[in-house]
Amino acid sequence: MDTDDDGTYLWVSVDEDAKPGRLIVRGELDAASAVELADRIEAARAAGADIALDLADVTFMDSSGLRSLIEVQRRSESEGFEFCVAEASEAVRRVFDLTGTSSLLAP
Amino acid sequence: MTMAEAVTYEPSTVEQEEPDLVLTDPEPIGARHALRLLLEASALDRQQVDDLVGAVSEVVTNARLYGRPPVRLAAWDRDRQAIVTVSDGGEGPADPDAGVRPAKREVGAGGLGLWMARQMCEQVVMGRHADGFTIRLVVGSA
Repeated sequence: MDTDDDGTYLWVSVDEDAKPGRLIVRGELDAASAVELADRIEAARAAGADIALDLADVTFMDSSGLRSLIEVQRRSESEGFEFCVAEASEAVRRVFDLTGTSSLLAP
Repeated sequence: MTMAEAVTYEPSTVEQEEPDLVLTDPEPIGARHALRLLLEASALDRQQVDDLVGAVSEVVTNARLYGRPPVRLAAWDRDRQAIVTVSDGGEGPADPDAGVRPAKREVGAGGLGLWMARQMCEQVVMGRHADGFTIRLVVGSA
């Protein structure tokens, strides 16, 4: 529930100890901040990486956040790369459960 | 396709009382944080608060995207029950049953946020009035 001085409330970092496309996401994923995540995924894709998202520290996700994940999944099918949500917080799981999209989460 | 008649908004009795929180044109994140703060000491359980915060965030996002300013949020903390209204100067969704039918929740088709809000709250009531459109979200029981 915190924000930077410039109002940022979503932070995306690359997991240096893992494959290049593993992104660690922290903060609140809503319509405004989903743009930041999309940009970071785009950058990883430009480098040819498969995408795995660690959402364990995402404290809030709304329908726009979910939509952005579904969008990446659709692209992974059409463009032929791997995509999964590797870790998910309770807040993220709640949205998956409500909308029947738990298959996004890696088993 | 026939469209159902627009529904007239009927305020609940609590709405005649002074709200515990009023926000004008809130960003969704501001609405979430203010509501969490308000409900910190309420008797609602964590899931109820999380769900109400999620539902309000969806409705505020919709109001900013599709409604007409000003967007006004009012909240009443009644211990075991929390009531939030979000109003804007627009007409609301053309279909008063928006977000009700499962078909409408296909991702990317729109209406997903409102559908989720309906799942997360005990009560979702919406309708039009002289000043625009209001949606009421309720969790817990009186």
